[in-house]
Amino acid sequence: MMAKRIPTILPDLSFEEALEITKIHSVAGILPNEVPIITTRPFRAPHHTVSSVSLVGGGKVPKPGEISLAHFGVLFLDELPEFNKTTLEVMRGPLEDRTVTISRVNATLTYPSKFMLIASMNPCPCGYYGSSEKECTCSEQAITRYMSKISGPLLDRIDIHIEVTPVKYQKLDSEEKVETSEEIRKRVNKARKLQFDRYKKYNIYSNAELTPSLIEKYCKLDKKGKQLLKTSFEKLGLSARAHGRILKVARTIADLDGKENINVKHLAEAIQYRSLDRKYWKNN
Amino acid sequence: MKIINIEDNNYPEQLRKINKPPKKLYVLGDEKILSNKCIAIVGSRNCTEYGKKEALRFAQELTLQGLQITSGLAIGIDTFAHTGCLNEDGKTIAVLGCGFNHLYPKENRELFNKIINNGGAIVSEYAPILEPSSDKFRQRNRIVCGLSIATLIIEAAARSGTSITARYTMEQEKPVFCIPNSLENNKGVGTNELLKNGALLATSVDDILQKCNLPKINLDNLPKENKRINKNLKKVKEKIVKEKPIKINKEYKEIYNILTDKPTNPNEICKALKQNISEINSKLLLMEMEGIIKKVAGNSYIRI
Repeated sequence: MMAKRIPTILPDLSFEEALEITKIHSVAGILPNEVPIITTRPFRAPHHTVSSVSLVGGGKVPKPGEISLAHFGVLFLDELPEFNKTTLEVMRGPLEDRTVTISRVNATLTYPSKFMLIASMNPCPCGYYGSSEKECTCSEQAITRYMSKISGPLLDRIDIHIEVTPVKYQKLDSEEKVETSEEIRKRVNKARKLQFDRYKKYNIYSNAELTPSLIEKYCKLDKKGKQLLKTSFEKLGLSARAHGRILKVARTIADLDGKENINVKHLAEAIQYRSLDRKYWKNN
Repeated sequence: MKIINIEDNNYPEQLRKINKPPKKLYVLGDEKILSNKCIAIVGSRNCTEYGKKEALRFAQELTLQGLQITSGLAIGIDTFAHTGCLNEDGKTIAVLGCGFNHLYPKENRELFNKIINNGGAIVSEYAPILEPSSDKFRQRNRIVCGLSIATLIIEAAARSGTSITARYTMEQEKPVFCIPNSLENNKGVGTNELLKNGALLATSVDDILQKCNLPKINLDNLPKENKRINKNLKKVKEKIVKEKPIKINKEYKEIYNILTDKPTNPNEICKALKQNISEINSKLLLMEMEGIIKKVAGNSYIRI
């Protein structure tokens, strides 16, 4: 449910982005006749029985797959461990390079694939691991097996992991005022504008596309920040690959906050969002 | 690997006295330590944070008193009992419910090696080729307590393997100790039941030492020349210093006051303090890095 709300807070499309999306959808032959140009970010949610070819693209003359159709939009994979393991692994390259090259006898084509991957899963097969309401009935091995369906390299390429606890009925019913999607979208647009202006000369749109050298330039930490990053790597057993991801997320949080530099507060929040890297998930 | 038959001289004497002693013992590591004084520490596989903390503490303190720890190398309390003993450079005995070729659970392979390297022993009554089964696990419990002079139970669910160990210990006319557990903890149901039926309450190692007529070594009066023990002594002193009331930064105080030993969700903190979730999340991580709180499964926090 939460993931389906994501399109409502995504930033507005720029004209160039809209053109690119329209081109891909046109190539795939799925552009409706009455729509001359696509003006909203795509949201693709393939079922977990999807094949690797339909995910990355293929065919006699290669057609774009789900990851390219989700270009500049969202690819949502519900129940991630239920997907075929090899199907998931084919996304590793495109997630890193943000393009995918498909070679067939008739043609070799490169499609863009700058998509935002959103996935959801349960903490264990029964779904109650760590819940305060009900006790988890899974054995340690069953949990390990379930978790191992998602490979480390894939997990490393996902910037933000968040554990969500079940919502009680009172909360669903509460009249408490919360931030609406419209308000959130305004904040997102503001941050996006900052990034767009900052990276104009590099021909990229957002923090997600930063290369290692640009990370060094734009995600500078002060002394306190460096110290915090060091202690958290030691204490939480984070993987080395998480390093760049944390910095990019911290940069984004600082942008949302409207701050020029990343300070400890932003960095701490970014580290907080890597819960699957933590050791406790494996040995409680 | 060594095989010790029941008629051999190095067969542990106390094990010979139990009902149905194993005819053969397969031993990896040092077989001589099997005759030393041991305390068994057992409990739930699926333990709570409290159980983990107490298992480590009791194992460490008993080791410092010169005792060995026996347990079953299972996950949960057993693992922490062995680890606690190893933390103090102690020798620990693990009794398996299967042959050596089928180490179960596989996660404990590292611990298995560590026990042997530290001068401990791994014992099984089953030939190396035999696979684990629930019946074997039940049977190995009689060896765990057979090798020990007393059994300490940290946590146990209502019907569990742990209560079988307790029953065997009572049959062998040895004392069974339980630590106090909250009524809200469903891993405390078994220990509370045992306490009702004549198990002894242990709130510190002193209770165990006294009941078993063992001398208490005062760690403050140790001879200076004994380097290893001095090292341990330093550790204990450090621990005492650590247990002093921790200083908490002003800005973290309000969050810290909400947290308890029971896991609390950041959303609840948010609601109580009427603060932004991102603010809370960032503070929680900083507090965790300072070592005053801990994150547990289910995106929840507890005090340390």
